[in-house]
Amino acid sequence: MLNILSYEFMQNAILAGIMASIVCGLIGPFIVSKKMVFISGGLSHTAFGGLGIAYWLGINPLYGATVFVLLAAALLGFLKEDRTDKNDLFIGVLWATGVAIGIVFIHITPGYAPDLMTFLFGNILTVPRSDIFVSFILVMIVTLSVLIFFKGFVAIALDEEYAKARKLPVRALNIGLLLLTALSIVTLIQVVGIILVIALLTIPVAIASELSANFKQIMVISILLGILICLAGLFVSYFIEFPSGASIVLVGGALLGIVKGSKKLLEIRN
Amino acid sequence: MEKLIEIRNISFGYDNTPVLKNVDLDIFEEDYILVIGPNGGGKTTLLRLILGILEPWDGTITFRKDISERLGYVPQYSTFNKNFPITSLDMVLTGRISSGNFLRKYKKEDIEETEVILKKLNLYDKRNENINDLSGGQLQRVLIARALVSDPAVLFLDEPTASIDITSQTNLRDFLDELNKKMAIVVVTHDPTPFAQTYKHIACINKNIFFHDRGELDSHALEQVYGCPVELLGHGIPHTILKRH
Repeated sequence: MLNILSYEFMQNAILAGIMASIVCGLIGPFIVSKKMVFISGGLSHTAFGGLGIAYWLGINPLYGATVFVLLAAALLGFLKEDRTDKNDLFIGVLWATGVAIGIVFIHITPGYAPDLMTFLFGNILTVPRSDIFVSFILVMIVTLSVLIFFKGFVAIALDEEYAKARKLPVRALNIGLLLLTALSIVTLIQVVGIILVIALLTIPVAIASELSANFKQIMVISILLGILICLAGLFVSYFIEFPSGASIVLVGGALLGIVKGSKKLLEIRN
Repeated sequence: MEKLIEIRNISFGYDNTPVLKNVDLDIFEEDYILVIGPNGGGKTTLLRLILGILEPWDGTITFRKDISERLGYVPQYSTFNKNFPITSLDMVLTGRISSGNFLRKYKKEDIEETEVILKKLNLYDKRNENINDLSGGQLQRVLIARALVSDPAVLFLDEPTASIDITSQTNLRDFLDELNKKMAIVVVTHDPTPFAQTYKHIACINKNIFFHDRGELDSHALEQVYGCPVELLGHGIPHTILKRH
């Protein structure tokens, strides 16, 4: 059992899981409370466009994804309408356009593109050391930013109108939160893939919200749960040879079901 | 009495529909203004313009030098994000956040000041409870506490009686009366009756503004605002808002 930890791919997988869990715990609670889950899904899918172009250019797809997701987040931040229904439409367009760009560039790139499945569905067991390093830098940026801007982010998530009345830079904070969401998504894509990113941003937070009603506690519990879910999914995937991204998400979903179910049972018994 | 806020010739609208036209209003120290008018008449919009949440199309709002950051705001019950998990204490603490300190951690005095206000408003026992577990009256007091921890010179309340019972309404009125000794108070309400004993001026808003001293409001003036005959009763003589009509 322990000797599998001596494989470098296993060490990388564990590191990737831990880093993904940290950004999920720091950003996920904001995304859930601000109802930005659909935005995150949209941003995640625009990454596919960047992956496709990077693949066509012959550079590391992760760099392409990073640039694309950041651009999409900035665009969304600057165009953000006060009316959420218009936002909704715009996110849908970004989502589909990103994927379409990806498909086109992959199509015009000669040869077969096996890596792309990895980016769609994630494979934590094949994350190279170089990408771990990129992730580490992204995690540092996200962590420091959340620590520095924590009060401001809480203010806009709790009551944007009030934050405006207190003369806080609400627009800048909103754009900042979107950019950090983008960086988190890039970190997560390696672990669970574009399609399953929103699962890691939401499931640990959903479980943590059942266990605590305090925002800071929810952040910490989400990080710990994220690590638990990623590692459990990783071992399931390793031993029974299931796709790793899907294993992680299913472990998370099952855990959420167990926690919610036991809470309901306890309520009924009392 | 010194003038705190001077509003001149403000116009504003949403999309291309004007909501407020050429509105003038002065708010003085120790003033107590009721802002009344029909739904959609622009009451809340005027508040949001004064607070800087909206930018006017036209006109100016001038503040006495030291008070532009000392505006207390008690929004309508339903405007904040109820999804956000937060305790009463932390919610009230956010009232201490300003453009000058949002990058810094809370100081000891922020927490001390918050605890003093929580005690004053009978919320200290509830400080660690999630705001979603509070009653309407308690939540109302949390919102007032959040506005008070910023040491406001003017306190703006938007429909403060909408979600609370009669006892809480009476307590609120007495509390505002007490606060009025230290700060100006502006209450936006569709129902002026609970404040009939205490207000000093009334501003009727329906796109335009009509400003009245205590007692001078008559049914004719109200008809002008509402666009149809209306009847408002002030319970208990002599505390009627309106002259007999």
